[in-house]
Amino acid sequence: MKVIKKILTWVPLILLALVSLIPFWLMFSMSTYKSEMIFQNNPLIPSNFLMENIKTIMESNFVHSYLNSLFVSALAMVLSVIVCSMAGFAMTVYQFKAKKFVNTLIMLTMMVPTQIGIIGYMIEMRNLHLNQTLIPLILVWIASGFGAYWMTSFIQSALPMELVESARVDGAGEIMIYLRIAFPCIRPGLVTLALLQFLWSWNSYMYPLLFINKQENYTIPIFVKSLASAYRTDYGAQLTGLTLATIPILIFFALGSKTFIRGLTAGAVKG
Amino acid sequence: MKRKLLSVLLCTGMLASMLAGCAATTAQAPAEAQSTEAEAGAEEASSDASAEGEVTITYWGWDVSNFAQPLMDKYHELHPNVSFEPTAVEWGDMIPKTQQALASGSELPTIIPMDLGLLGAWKNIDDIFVDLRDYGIDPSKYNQALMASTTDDSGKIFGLHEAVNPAAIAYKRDLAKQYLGTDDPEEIQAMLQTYDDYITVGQKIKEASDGKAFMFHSGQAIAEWFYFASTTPNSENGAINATTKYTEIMDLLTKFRDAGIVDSYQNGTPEGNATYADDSHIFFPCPDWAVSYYIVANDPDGAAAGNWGLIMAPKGYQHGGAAMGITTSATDEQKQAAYDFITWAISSEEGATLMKDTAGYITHDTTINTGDFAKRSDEDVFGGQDISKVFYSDIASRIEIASPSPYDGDITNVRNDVAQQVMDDPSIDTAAAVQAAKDELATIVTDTSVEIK
Amino acid sequence: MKKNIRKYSFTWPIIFLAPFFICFFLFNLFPILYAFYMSFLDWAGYNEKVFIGIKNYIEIFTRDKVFWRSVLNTLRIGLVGFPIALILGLVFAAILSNIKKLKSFLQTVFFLPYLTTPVAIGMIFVFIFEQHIGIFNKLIEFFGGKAINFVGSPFWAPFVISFMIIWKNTGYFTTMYLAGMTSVSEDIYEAAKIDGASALQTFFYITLPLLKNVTIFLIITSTIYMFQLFDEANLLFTNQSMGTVGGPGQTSLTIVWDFYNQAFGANPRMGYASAMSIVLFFIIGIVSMIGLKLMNGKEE
Repeated sequence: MKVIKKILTWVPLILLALVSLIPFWLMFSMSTYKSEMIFQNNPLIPSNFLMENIKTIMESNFVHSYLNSLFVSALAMVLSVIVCSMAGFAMTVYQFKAKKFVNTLIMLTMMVPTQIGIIGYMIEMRNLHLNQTLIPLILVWIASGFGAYWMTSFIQSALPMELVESARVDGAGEIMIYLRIAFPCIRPGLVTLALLQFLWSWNSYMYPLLFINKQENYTIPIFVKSLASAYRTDYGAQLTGLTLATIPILIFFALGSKTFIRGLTAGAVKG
Repeated sequence: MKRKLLSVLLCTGMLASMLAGCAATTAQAPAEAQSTEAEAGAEEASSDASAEGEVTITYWGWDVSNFAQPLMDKYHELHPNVSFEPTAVEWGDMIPKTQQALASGSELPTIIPMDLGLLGAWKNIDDIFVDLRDYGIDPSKYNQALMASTTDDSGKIFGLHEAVNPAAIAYKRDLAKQYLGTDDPEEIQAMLQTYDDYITVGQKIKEASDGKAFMFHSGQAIAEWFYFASTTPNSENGAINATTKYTEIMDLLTKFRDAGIVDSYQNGTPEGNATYADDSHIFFPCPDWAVSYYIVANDPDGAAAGNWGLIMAPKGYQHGGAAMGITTSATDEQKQAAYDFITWAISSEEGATLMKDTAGYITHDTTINTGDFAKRSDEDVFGGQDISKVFYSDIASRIEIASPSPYDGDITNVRNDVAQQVMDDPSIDTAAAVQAAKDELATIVTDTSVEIK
Repeated sequence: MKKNIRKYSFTWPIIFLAPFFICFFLFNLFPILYAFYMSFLDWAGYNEKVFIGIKNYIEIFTRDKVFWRSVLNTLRIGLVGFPIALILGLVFAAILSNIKKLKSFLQTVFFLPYLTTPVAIGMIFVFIFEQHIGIFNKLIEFFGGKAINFVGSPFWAPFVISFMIIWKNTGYFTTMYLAGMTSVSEDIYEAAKIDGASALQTFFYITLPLLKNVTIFLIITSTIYMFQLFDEANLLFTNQSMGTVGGPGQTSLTIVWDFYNQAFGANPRMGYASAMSIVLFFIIGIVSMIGLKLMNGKEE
C-alpha cells in the first residue's frame, strides 16, 4: 500500500517535471548548434556552437534590445505595483459610499481586453508624440485590472486595520501609513504582483511588434524575430537569444520564489 | 531576503535606464563625428544631387545584415552626408507594420523593400510610393518582366527590383549517379524536359532505391515551384482566378504525390532543410540565392566536394527577390538621396559588384550585367559546372512573371497550407484540394468585394 | 470631526484611487472607446474615413462566417486546454501538498513553463511536434504508432495549441491551488482526521469546497485569457518560413488573430476590425459577468 502510494505520488511528479523541463533543455541545447546543423544531429545533446551564436546576436542588436526590455519591464513593473497597491490600499482602508461600485469597476477593468484597443492606442500615442519611444510599451501595463484586484484582496487579508488606526492615533499621515505600515505588511503580495507584471511585460509580443519601428528601440521578442533574413532564419541564434532572455526571469523567480508563493497563498485566501 | 529582492529589482531598473541613456549618447557620438567628416568630404562628392546637405535615409527590411547594411556602409563612405538608419523587420511583419504606421499617422521609412510575393499588396497602396519616372529612371535597361511587375496600370513605376532571381533545379550528384546512372548535368537535363519526365525519372529513383529515396523532399517546395512557374494571373477584373490557378498546381502536385516521388517534409523548416545533407532526397527547386542559403548552409560537406548539379526547370521562373520603393512622405532631399542610393546599388558598376559580392544578388540592369559580370565564385559547389550561364543567361532571359495581385500573399499561404495537406492525406485529389484552397481563401481574404472564382 | 470623516471617506480614497483610474482611462479604456468610434467607419487606415453607421456590425452578425468560426476555434482550443490544465493543476497540488521532500523545488520546476516567452514556446513546440524528427513523434513511433504531422494538420494543429496552454498553465494552476490549500487551517484537517475521514474524503469534502474561490478566480482569468488568445497561435505558425494566417485550414484562427488579419493584413479594414473588437469586448464582458455572479453568489 505504501509502495503504491509512493508510485502514485512520484511517477506523475517526475513526469510533469520532465515535461516542464524538456522544452527548456531543448531551448538551451538547440542554442548550442549552428542553425543548419540542429536537425542533422540529435538536438537533445548540446553541440559546440553556442559561442558563435552568442557572437552573432552580440553583433546584431542584442545588448541594446536586452536593456530596452529590462527598462520597459522594470518601469512597467514598478509603476503598476505602486498604482495598483495604492488602489488596493484605498479599497481596504477607507469606507466610502461608492465602494461597492468601485469594486465592481475594478473587476470590470480586469476583463477589458486591452489588446483590441491597439489601433486607438496607437493613434493616441502618436498624438502625444510618444510613438517613437518605448513609453507606450510601459503605459499600457500600469493600470492592471488584475493587479488592482489582486492587491485589494491581498491587502484585505494582510493589513490589520488596528495597525492603521493606531498609526493614525500616533499622528501619522495617510501617505506615511501607506508607505511605512502597509508596504511592509503586504510585501509578499507586492513581490508576487511585481514578478507577474515583469513577466507579462517582458514576454509581451503584439505591442512591441506593432509599435517599435526603430532598431534601437527593439525589445527581445522582436529582436529575436528579426534574426531572420530573406532566405535564412537563424534558429540557433534565435534560441540563444531566447535562452539568454529567460535567465533574468529565472533569477528573479529563484530569488523571490518563496516570497512569491507566500504572496499567492495569502492572496488566494480571498481570491 | 524580501528587501534584497525588491532592491535588486529597483537597482536593475535604474541601471537599465542609465545604461539605455548611455547607449543612446554613445550612439550619437559617431554620428556627430561623421557629420564633421561629411563637411570635409562634401567637396569631393559634389557632382551628386544628393551631396548637398545632411540627409538620413530610413529603411525597414528583413534583409538588412547581408544586403542593405554593406551597401549602405559603402554608400555612406562615398557620400558622407547621407546616413542610413536601417531597421530589421521580419518578412511577414512588413505589411502589418506599414499599415500600423499609416493608420496611426506615424512616420514611414524612406525606403521600403517589397517582396515579389507581396508586390500586389503594395501596388494596392502604391500611393505611398513615389513614381520613379519623376526621378528619371530608364526602364528600358532593366529586365522587362521585373519592371512590368512594379509598374501599375497608369504606368507609374513604384519600385525597382534589386536583382534577378532565376530559379532552376539542383540535384545531388552522388545520388544521381547511384540511381540514374549518371551525374552529368547535360544528360540529366535531357532526361528531364517536361513535368511528366520528372514523374518517370522519380519512379525510376524510387525503384532503384527500394523506395528509400525520394526525388523531392517536400510537396510544399514543388508546389511553390509550380506556382512561380505558372503565368496565370492571380486576379483579374475584381475576381481571383482561384480555380484555374490552384488546379494547375494541385494537378501536378497530386500526380507527383501519387507517383510516390515526393516526401512529406514541410518546406523551409529546419527539419526540411536537413534533407539537403541526407542521402534520400535528390532534387531541390533552386533559385540562385538558394545556392548559398540552402545548399552550402545545409550541406557544407557536399558543397565542398562539388557534389551538386544544376538543370533548368521546364519553365524559366523567378523566385523571391524584392523591389525597393521610396515613400512619398519622405522629404524631397530624402527622396532624391534614396533614389540616388537605389540606382547606385543596382545600376552602377561599383554598387552592383558590391551587392553581388556581399549578398550574392545579381543586378537586372542589362547594361551592367554583361559578359562575365554574373560569373559566380561558387561554381565549385557544382563541380565546376557553369551555373552562372544556366541562371543568368539560359533562365534569366526566359523568365515570365504572373502579374501581381493584392491577394498574392493569401493565395501563396493557402497554396502552401493545402500542399501540405495534400501530402499528408493521400485521399485528397485535385478537385478536393482546389475546393479546400478556395474555402481557405474565402476565410482569409478580407476584401469582401472580390469574387473567388 | 466631520471634516475628518470626509477626509477618510472622500479625499484620501480619491487620491489613492485616482492614479489607477486615470491610467486605466487614458491607456486602456480610451483606446477601446476609440475603437468603438472607428467601428462605425469604413476605413483602410490610409484612405478617407467614411461613416457607415452600423453596417460593420450587421456584416458581423449576418454575413461574416469567419468571425464566428474564429470564435468556435478559440473556444475549441481553450475548452480543451484550460479545463485539463485546471484539473491537472488541482491533482498536482493535491499530490504536492502530501509530500515534504522536494516540495518547493518541484513547485518551482512546475512553474517554469509559465515564465517562458511565447516566442520561445512557439519555436520549441514546432520542433517537438514535427513529423520526422520531433520528439513527440519519435515517442509515438517508439510505441509502434505512425508519425503525424501535428502542426501541419488542420485537425491536430488546434490541439497543439491546447497542449501549449496545458504545458504553460499547469504549473501556474498548481501553485495557485497549493496556495489555496495551505491557507486552509490545519485544525480543520485535524478535526477531520479525528472523525475518521479518509484522505480522499477529506479532499473531496473539505479541501475542494474551500478551493471554490480559487477555482472561480482561475476560471474567470483563464476565460479572459482564452478570448484574447493570439501569441501562442500566431507564433506557432509564423516561425516557419511561410506561415498561413490561422494555421492549416484556418482551424487555429483565433478571434484576435482574425482581428489582427483584418486590421493589418494585405487588405486592411480598420473599421471592420474595430467592430469585431467591440463584439469581442461584449462577449468577454457577458461571460465575465456570469463568472462574477457565480463568485459573488457563492460568497453570500
